[in-house]
Amino acid sequence: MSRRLATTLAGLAGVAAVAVALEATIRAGWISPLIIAPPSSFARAFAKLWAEGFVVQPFLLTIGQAFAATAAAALVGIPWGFWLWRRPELGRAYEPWIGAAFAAPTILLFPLFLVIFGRGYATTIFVGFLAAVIPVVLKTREAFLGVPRVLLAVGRSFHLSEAALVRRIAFPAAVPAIFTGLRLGLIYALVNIIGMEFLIDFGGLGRIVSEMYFRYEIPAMYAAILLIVAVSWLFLAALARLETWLRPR
Amino acid sequence: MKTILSALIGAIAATAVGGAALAQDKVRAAVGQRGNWDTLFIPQGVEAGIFKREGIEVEITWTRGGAETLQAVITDSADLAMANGILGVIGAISKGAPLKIVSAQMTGAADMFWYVKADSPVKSMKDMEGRTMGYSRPGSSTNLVALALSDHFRVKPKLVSTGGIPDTRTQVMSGQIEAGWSVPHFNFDLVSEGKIRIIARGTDVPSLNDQTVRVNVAGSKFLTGRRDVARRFMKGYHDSIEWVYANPEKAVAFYAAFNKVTPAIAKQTYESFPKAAVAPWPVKGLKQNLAEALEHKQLEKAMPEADAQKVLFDFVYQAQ
Repeated sequence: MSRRLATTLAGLAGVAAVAVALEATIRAGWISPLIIAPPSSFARAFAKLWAEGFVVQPFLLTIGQAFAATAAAALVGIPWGFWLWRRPELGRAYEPWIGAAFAAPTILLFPLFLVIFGRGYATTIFVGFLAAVIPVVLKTREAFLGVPRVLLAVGRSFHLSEAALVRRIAFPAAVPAIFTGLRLGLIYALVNIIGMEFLIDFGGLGRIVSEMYFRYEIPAMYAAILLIVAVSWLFLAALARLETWLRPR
Repeated sequence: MKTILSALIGAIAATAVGGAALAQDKVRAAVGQRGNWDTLFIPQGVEAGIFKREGIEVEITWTRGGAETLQAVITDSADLAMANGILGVIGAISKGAPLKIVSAQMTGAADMFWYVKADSPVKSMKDMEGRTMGYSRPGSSTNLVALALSDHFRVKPKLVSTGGIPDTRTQVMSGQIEAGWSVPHFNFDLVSEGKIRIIARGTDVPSLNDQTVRVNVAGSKFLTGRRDVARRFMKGYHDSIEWVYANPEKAVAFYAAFNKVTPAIAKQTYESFPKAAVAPWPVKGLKQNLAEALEHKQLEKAMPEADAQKVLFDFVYQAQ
């Protein structure tokens, strides 16, 4: 058995074990099925969501918003983080403030954003972008700071220009940590976008979770949450592929 | 020595029994939409000493209504959930939630109104075709009444869940939705300032007058395990409503102080809630409510009225 297959099977076995334990706990009456739905009900719940048209379009809407927010965070955050590295005095000055802003629950500003951007995708994507850009900035600066000085010294010894130094040494060395920032950014973007969809009853999977919750369709609510997990999994897999392509071997 | 000891033991026993007799039974009530006229009956009753007379100490938790209120009872964080949309309650009970309807809370929709900005092109409900119209949460009474208004005026607005009254107001005034929902006294200030216009009221749909739109619900565990307490609480609730309408000046003053509004606005609010509308019994229009619950997917399959009577209700107390 290949190592990759073994890893995948081990992961699935872990999930299955949790599902079985949860099912047993609910059937034993220790947890109310009105609070946590038994995993055995998910297949039927998913079929119900499909029949009501609550799968494909909401799935694609949430993916689209998360992609837009994360892409915007990358376009803004990576250059910003790079600039904070190139200007060390500014990096030292602003990093604590940016880090502090990361802890702020910006999603609570959503009524303001609704007024500014209206009740639409601009608001949900902006909220996602706001949550995602900060970890991208911080991790990008950290990534460039972490490039071993000896590599840069070797580059300079070969009389590489500053641009070539960045392109051929610093950036490839920084890619892993930059992608850590992108992964974090994606997670925060998705969480905030789903939260917005739930709060304002708009958009994709978050709106479905809200609707199922208010209809007391608890298994369907959890089925929608599993679809959100699937969105996250797809994005993280895509990022892993992109990182592999960008990193030289 | 023996006599002294006996006297001491007797005194301790008497204190314990006396203490128990003075102790009140605690009831936890989750109440949606803080500050509405019809959700203040319990605080009014507490203030007037009605619940104390029944030996009940009420602990109120205010919620934003809808599923949040019912979930408090389902998770045993509360004994009763007051002021719940009947569609949502039917849906929850049909899916196994351990709840029972103990009384009506609002019959008809004399309290609700929908409004638009003063400069809106919408003049009445008939102009709402394709336009966004707010309601609080799925399964709520505002959801039910918004649907009834749409059917009555034969229009198909785009219904949007906008949450509570302040959130709805923000969305209307910033142009995110066309028409928002409200109940007195909220938004009366904007009406009097000419900033908004009322385009529809719950009373515009005559059939709603005989339909209970909100109900009070108790947990099955509370009803079976502490039935006498439940009975006394519901008696206290009924008597509180009787007291409020028998003492309108005091009730209006309480409402004004609680919500920090003028007595004039409080009085206007009182006049919007006829006593018959808040009568706890009977629960009216069950057949219509069951049909709407099925149509709007709160019920997965049709429930015959006879079955519904057994499944949904437990009138632990009913005034004669």
